[in-house]
Amino acid sequence: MSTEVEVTKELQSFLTFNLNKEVFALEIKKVVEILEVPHITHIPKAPDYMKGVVNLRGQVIPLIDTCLKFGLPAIEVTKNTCIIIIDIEAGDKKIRFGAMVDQVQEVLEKEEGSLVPSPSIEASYNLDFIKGIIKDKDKFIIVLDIDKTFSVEEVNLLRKSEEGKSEEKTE
Amino acid sequence: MSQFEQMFKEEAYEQLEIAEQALLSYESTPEKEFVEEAFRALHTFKGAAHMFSFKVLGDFAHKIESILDGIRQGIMMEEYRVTDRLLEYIDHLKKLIVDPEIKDKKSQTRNEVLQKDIDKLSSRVSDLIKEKGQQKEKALLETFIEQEDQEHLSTYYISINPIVEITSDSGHPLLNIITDLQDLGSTRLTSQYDQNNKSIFIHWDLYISCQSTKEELESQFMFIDDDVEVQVHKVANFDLFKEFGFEDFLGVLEKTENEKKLEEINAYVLSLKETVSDENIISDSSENNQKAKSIRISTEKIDVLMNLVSELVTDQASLKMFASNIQDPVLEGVSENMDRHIRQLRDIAFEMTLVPIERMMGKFRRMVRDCSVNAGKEVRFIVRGENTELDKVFIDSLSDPIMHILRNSIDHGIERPEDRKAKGKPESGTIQLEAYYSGANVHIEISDDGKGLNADIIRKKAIEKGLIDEEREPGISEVYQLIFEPGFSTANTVSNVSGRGVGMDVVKKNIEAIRGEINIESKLNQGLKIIIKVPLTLSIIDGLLIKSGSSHFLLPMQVINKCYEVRNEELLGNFNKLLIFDEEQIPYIHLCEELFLSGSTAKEYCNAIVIQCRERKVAILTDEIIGEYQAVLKPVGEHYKNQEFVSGATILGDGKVALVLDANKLVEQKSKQTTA
Repeated sequence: MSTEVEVTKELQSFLTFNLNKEVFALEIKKVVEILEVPHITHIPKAPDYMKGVVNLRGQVIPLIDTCLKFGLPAIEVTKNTCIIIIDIEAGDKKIRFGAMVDQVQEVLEKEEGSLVPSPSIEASYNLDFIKGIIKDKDKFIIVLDIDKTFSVEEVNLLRKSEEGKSEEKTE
Repeated sequence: MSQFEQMFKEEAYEQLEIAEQALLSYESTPEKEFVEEAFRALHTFKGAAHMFSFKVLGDFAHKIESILDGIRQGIMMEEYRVTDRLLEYIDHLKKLIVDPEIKDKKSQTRNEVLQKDIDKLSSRVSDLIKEKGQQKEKALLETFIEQEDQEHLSTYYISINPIVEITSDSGHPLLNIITDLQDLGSTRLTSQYDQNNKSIFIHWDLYISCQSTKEELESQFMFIDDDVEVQVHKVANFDLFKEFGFEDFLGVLEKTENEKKLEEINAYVLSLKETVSDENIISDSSENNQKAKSIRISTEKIDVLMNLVSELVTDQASLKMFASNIQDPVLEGVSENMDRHIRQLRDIAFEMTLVPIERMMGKFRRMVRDCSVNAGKEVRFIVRGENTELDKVFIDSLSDPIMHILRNSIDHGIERPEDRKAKGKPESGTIQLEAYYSGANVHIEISDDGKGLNADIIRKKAIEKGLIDEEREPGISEVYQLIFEPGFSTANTVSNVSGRGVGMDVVKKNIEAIRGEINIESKLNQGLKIIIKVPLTLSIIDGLLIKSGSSHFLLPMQVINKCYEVRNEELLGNFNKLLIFDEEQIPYIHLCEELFLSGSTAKEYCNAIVIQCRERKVAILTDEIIGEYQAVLKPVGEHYKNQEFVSGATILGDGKVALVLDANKLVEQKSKQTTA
């Protein structure tokens, strides 16, 4: 028993998934569960990447298209498409939501400290959303900062800027 | 330890609330039972405080207790605004609970001031008690001093009929005997005289509570039993004179025929015994048995339970569907059983979330009292139906609006005593709060007998402000609704003339946020009545399930006025977006177009649902009406808080999520779009 505890202490787990054929990861402690894509109820007039809501055993969960969120083309739902249910802390409230991804890969166990800040990343991604990178078999995987990426403020900010854009267009 | 401290805080706070309530009740109706209730609560508080060695708290409470004791003994009655000060002390105690070691500088000085104050008051009480004790004037006090022997006190009714003629100046020994008897304890003597000669006695009634036995009393009359006929009845084995209301009862007795008096007394004593034993049960159980009967549960746990039950309800809906598809009689039987049990479980779980509105009343009573004292007005506050139960969420969100309404009533509605007198009204105004069930709603009516609303002035102001058209003659209820307009509530418009309006828009908004309604009835100079209607519970709503395109939506039933069928042809080329129903032009919103829904099938007919929005009627066009649906309302989450027209979501039997539409918001959004 005690050895087990020690082992888990030293390891940090990451869940890797595909977005538009590229591999990303997030810290597994934020992940509640992984779902297949159920029936999605679309909410009209919401931003594009807010896919709608789904029923998670009686709980109504907002769903985010992670690809659209990062400016990638929208996810086409296939049999590989998954929803990662994530809890994030916002102030003293816990917000649960689903992040839709192209495919879930595996759980990587890395020694603590293997998550390193990214020295420089291709500019095509917004650096604010990146927590760091981990190395896996000669490959580097970007670890997303979930709290920042999917916070309500972020969502609303984006929405406002979009609104601003659309208003500009109409005017 | 901290866990116990938390328990102490909760418990202590509760006891102080009880004491506060009792004092307020005592102020409005000075009955001793309220003082005793406050006394009991403080006593419990004191005990708990000492148990947790919060000495300051306990000692302070003890001093309040001794003042209460003074009131209980019938002294301190003349003390100016004694309840005011007691309430102040209790407020102080409440602060001390949070900070029992008095670390805060401010409360430290406050504590010192109040300590001195209360010391003065409580020492005066004990002086008064002693003083009165020496004079032995009041029977009440005497019994207080002899408290130890109280157990042995009995109350007797002695009826004396003279056989020979006895006059008041005859010096008959009977008169001395009666005087002697009166020294034994609390007594009350009523003498009846002859109609024609006022000095001739025809009957005496003597009520006495003393330690003597019946035989001892009878023996007093031994020597004169030829002159008088004496009957001694032991009516109670306790001191009736200590009972509140006994004096009044004696007043009643005086008017009763002599023969029936004994019967009356016995009935009175019996009624007392009933209340006494009831009280005993209550006070006993609050200390011992009650704990087993009810337990405290944190509201979070109840929320979780409610969620689980809601999930079960949804699961059951799917199971039922599945069972009816499979057509296995065994499975269907199981499903039916489940259905029944889940329904019972749901009912009980929902009941648990309901709390009596009495919970809010404490605050209100206090506020009304403080406010009316400040405004120099006399206000009676009557509460009816405080046992009416509401979802606990409402209790919190209703409390502020009601406070506001009450304050308005006191500030602007109820006139000053002299004005009321001039108008021929009783000097003290009355505010009544009545709560009752009406269907699936709870109504809360707050009425006062003050000035009421002046429709003419409101109308004039509204025209000035451009809220209504000058030519149009709005109906009276429409005029009253104007006071809920945001711009209408500033002090320099209506409030200095006819009162009201201060923040009434906020009141309305708060109530509508919990899907409630607010209405006004008023008669000039007769008063005002505000009626708040709220659904029994927030988490379950009755709605109409509709389908537009491929999406399901739920419209709350309470806004729906009527449903019509519309030929799609009528909509073609309808540029001003108006439809005519029952000779009324009603603007419409096509859900599919409005919400950019896909999958709409071209059919010959569509359905129009006319809903009553805040100011006007609007028709909502949808492809299909599926039917009535009882929905468990769930939030859609913070991410969608900008989609205001969605007030929540619910899960349908097949597991899909349907959105619950907020019709008012939908219309608001629409009209914003068109004006922009």
